[in-house]
Amino acid sequence: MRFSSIAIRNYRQYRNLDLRFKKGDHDLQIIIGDNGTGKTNLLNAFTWCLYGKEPHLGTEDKGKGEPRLNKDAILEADGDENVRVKTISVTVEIEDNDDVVRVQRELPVRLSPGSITEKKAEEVFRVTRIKSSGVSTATVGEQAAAVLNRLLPEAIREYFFFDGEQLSNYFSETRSEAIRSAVDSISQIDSIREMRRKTDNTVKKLMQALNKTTPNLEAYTKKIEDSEEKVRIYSEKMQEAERTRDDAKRKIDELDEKLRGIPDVEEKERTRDELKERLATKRETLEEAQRQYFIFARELYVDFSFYEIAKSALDAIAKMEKEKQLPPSIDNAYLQEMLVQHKCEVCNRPLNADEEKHIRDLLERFQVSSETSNILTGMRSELRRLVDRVERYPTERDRLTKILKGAEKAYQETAKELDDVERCISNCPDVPAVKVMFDQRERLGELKDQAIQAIGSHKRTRDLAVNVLEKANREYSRALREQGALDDDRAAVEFGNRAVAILDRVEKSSIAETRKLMAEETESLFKGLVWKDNKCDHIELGPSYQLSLHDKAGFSCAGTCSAAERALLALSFTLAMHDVSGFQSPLFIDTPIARASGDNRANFAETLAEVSKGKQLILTFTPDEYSEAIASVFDPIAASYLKLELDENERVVSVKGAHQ
Amino acid sequence: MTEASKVPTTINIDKRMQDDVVGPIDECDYMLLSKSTVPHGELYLYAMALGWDKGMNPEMDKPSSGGFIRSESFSPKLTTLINTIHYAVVGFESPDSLRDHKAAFKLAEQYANGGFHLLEGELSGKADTEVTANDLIAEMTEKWQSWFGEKA
Repeated sequence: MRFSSIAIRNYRQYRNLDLRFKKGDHDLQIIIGDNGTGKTNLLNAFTWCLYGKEPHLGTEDKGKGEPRLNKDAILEADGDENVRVKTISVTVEIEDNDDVVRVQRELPVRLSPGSITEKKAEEVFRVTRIKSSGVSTATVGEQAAAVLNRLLPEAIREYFFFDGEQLSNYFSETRSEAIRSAVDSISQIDSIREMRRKTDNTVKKLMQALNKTTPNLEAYTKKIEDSEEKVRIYSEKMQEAERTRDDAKRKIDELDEKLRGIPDVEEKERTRDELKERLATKRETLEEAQRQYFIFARELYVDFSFYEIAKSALDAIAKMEKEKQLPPSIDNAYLQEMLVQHKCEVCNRPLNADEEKHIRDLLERFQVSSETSNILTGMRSELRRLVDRVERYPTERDRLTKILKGAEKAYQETAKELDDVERCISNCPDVPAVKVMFDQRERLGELKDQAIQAIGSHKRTRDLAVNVLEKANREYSRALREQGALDDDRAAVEFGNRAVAILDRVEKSSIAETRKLMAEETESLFKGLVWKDNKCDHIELGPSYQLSLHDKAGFSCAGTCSAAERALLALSFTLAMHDVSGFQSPLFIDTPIARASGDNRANFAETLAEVSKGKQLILTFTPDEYSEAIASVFDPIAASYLKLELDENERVVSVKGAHQ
Repeated sequence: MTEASKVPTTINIDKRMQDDVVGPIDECDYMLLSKSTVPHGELYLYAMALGWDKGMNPEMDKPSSGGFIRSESFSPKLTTLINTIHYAVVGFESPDSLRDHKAAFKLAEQYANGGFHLLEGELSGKADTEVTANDLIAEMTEKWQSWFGEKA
């Protein structure tokens, strides 16, 4: 299928434009035009003609409510009082195999002083299929729309009419459902689904009929219906949860992109508070280490000051001990008093001469008084400790110094960490907005996790219901036999049920196969267009056809893609969708390389040149975009090369075809 | 034999030192010696050590009334070092001199008085605990090496 021509009358910039898209080895149609010459409105002319829609209007046209009627036509009408109605018309001719399908939309516009009114009620939409034999079939209105919809379904028009400026948003809007629907439609999965639905209806009708003629089947039918309902409910719940998960994932990706390089302020603030607490603890530890160090210095100084005399005192005490000069707990004063009194101070008994001699010997031996002995003995242990502390000084000093240095280092490191975090927070632009985004991201993460759990839970319930349903179907078949239903009826129901089950499996495997092929083809095309091999490893396509790029470690790296790369990824995906589904519609891409530059442009040209071998491509460029690198690829193979030009009054566009 | 004397009830400090040294130390906690950090006995020990180390033992001009520390609250270390100073000054061959507690206290008061004078000088400067502690450590390290002949 290809567009062979478009004829435009009185539509926006186009007063009277006829474009023919010639066939060639490469069905590549190049349209060049400066800004304002109506490249995008050419795209709008197609979509308006085919669907009555102009989705690619610039903000200028939308905002000002610019009339659809060509300005020159308006001026012409102003000068001629007799001509008060002008007609906008666009005719697109489509080659569909050997047939030509002519699609025509005409809209009369009434012109009165100060107002331009489109006469919507009188709009004509006509589709005519002209067979190669010359026989033609014309349809109008809704019938014509239905005919065209089979050829170029409106639901998926955005997958063959592109605006390059919007390609980068291709995956960022809530479009996964639209993409899934488009893929299902293009890949004919819709047809399988429809076949399944019809088969199921037929079986149901047969069963209803059998219930009337065969007794006791209602209970089995009821069980089947209940199980089917449960399967349906939980399948829908699963899909809903999948949509929630995918939506959350996409929003998380979008937020990640916005937050790339921006710190999580709330997280940083939590870290800052934790660091403040940690710093206070480190300060306490440091202060305690300092305290121990200061006390050690002071106490040891005392010990050092008295070390020498302490040592001498200990030596003196040791010498006295050795010479047994230190008395036991006997008071010399008592002994002397006993000699004076000549009697024992303890028992009051008189002392004989031998006993008095013994006391005199004792007094001679214990030259040191008992009090002195007690003092010296008391001093000894304290002096030993003092001497020991001095002698062990280097060990204790090193231990305390190490603790102190460690505490200082830990304090400084924490202080620096805190300083970094505080600087990071103060450098963060618009802290409240960033906080909101991080908060959203966290909530979306929770939502995604909940959805994943729900998917698992619903899947288990659905699978159980499927088992029950299968069992109910078997029981129903058995009951049919037992109740004596006619063989033909029974066979029809059993066959129908088997067919429904097979179609279910076909649908599932088709979806899986399509998704797998599309992921592979998208990856292959994207590799051709641009490949960040150092960053990206492979492409994955989620259940809702949500594209994700992954690095070698398996982490998503879509966030690191530029807008141009995302546009090329969208283009790769679309080309893959056409290729895998076998959908042979043309592709019209307005300003396809709007965001691409350098190598990406050259890759883009090479890839599209290859695609144009089997598919019609209509591409519009500004002269600047149509760079030497692109021209060197496209010029030799382009089937048509059309240049749009505005007249000197900038009202009418004409075409100059280099290869026309 | 040396005359014995009873252990005095308190050990004393010069009135001016009490006002000009102990008071400020209690406020700034120099060398962690304020009354709120350690008992005054620790300050007295430190002052005695300073006086002994630097050989300063001036008589007190005017003792503080009521004494500085009650002897019953002395730490064993303070008691021991009061006695040790006395023992060293009198001579290790005269151990019974230790019974003269009054003389021992007087001697300790003089060396402590010398130490308080030195502290007064430090306080009139910047009196930084960290600086003093580091100086003391350096001084002790040097002393240790001179005594034991090894690298401390």
